Amino acid sequence: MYTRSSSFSPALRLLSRVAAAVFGGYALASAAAVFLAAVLPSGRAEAALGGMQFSFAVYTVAVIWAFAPVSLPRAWAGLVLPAVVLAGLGLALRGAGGGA
Amino acid sequence: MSTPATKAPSQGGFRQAQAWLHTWCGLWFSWLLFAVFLTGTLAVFDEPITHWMTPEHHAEEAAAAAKKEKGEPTADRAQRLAWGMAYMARHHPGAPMWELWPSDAQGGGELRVFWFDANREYVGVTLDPVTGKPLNDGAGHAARATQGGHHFVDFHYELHAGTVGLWIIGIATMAMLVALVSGVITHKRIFKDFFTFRPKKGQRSWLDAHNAVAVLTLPFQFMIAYTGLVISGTSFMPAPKVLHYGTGPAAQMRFVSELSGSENPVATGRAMPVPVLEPFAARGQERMGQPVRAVVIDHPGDAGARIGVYGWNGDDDALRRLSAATSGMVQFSAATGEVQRVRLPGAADGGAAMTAQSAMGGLHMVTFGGWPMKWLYFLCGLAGTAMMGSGAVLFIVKRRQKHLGEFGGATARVYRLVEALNVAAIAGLAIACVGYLWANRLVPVGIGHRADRELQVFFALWALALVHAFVRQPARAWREQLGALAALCLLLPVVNFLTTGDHLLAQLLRSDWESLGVELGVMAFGLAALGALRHLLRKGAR
Repeated sequence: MYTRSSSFSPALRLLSRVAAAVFGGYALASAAAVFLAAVLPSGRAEAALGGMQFSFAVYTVAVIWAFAPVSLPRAWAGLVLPAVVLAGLGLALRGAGGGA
Repeated sequence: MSTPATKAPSQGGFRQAQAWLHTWCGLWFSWLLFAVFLTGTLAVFDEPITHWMTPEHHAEEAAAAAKKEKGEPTADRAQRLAWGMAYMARHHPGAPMWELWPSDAQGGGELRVFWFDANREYVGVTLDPVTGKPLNDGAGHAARATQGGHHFVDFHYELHAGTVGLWIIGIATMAMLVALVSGVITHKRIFKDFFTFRPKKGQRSWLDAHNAVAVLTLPFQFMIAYTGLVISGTSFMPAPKVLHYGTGPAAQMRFVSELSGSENPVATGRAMPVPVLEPFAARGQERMGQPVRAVVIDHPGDAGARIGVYGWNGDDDALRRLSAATSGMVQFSAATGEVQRVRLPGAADGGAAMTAQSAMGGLHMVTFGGWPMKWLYFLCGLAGTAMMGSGAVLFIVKRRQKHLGEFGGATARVYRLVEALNVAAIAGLAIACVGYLWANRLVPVGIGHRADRELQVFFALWALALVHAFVRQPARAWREQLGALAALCLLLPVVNFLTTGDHLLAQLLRSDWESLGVELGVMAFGLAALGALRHLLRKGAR
């Protein structure tokens, strides 16, 4: 399931996976919170609070994903891409949605 | 580090990968989480523990109760508020906030005043409801300085280490959520195994025990971990707040005031004496329909001052309501007397997210449901503690039978480390906890920084247990520390009798259930330690 052709040692690959879980997962959770803070239909303080409350569930699932038996590049991509999209949408919609 | 420990996550299927995650994430955080769970479980009963740890207050409390029974007259609310205001004007005129608690819900009891001191610590003093004089700033019968049961509260969420400690606990709690989810995924026969316990089968018994306590209390464990994170969530996950408000104290203040739905009053710089408070209290009581609990003055002495009147929730409100913190509240402008805001009892500040935040706080800190709910939390907390402990033991029991060689040449040394940490984290921490109670009785009452000395005993005992666990062979370390734990627990009533003259029978006769509960509870822990020790000795003899 994972790329045998990788030239890195198993220890480095494990380190990369842990980094994906810890930092990639945190980035995705933060991005999800930012996105929710922009789109939740309530005042901006309420929306920011709601985004935070939900983010730890996202973080948990992200870590589980990072240790799924998929290749390292896929594990990273599965965290970073949605994080970039959600954070971008959150920033773009900040004025429109949550800015009550 | 090569071989199975590093290879596993990408080999085999999803379930194997999650089993790997559960094992290692669980192991490395189990010791810290055991400490968080044991102290957090004790924190459920922080008030009874504080009561036991301040025996000087017992006589005071008995005298106050006797006074109340005799119906000795105390001052009315108008007089109490005037005394509180006079005290603050004389001693803390510059404080930006005065908080007066005139009486209990029946109009009796003590009069208390609170403010923030120069270090922004929330402090208070109690005034005599008959004379208006401060009660506890006279020397003489000073109660022993102690953090009491609050030590367990503080330790379980920030390790007495402020922001650094808060983050360490936050990271460990995230690890716990991950370990719970990966544990559920790993465990394919989750309901079938729940009915399985095979005693005296070594590794199988440990696995069964670990599964049983975890599955039985799984919803509680998820709830307590998640709500624990969310309570301090704005610190851990600041991104949405920063996006809307920026950083810095001013941004934080705007965020908080928008959340509570009220603007902070602004000082005008023009002086204006604080008006007589009783008319505000009376009008507030009428508007919200609750007896007055507190009168809070923001910017006293300024023309922009605001007066907030808060109500007492009835006992049954606190039992039924999850977010019990919201009593009635009426805010006035001090200058014009005009009503600025009314919150009726039970109405939440802010909207759905704020209600959820308050409910999660109530869920975590068990502010609802009274004593039966506290006992349920205590038992579930113990189950969580057992889940951490049995998981850590299971790891090594499995490897005592079959060396898995995860760390190559260093494997034996890593196993030794795990063995020692298991002893110190489980038996050693329990020794430190009961040792803290011993310190409360043995550290001299008049000594400087006394509360810190008690904490030092706690940490010193824990450190000593760690050294001991590395010096002695694991089997001996377990036996010796469990023996010490049993002795400390079972002898606690003896130390109490020798130092204060109090004992179980006296507690029973004067219906002091809090003291009695603490001592019987500690003795129950002692009996459990004794049982574990007997089990180990029998096993060793075979």
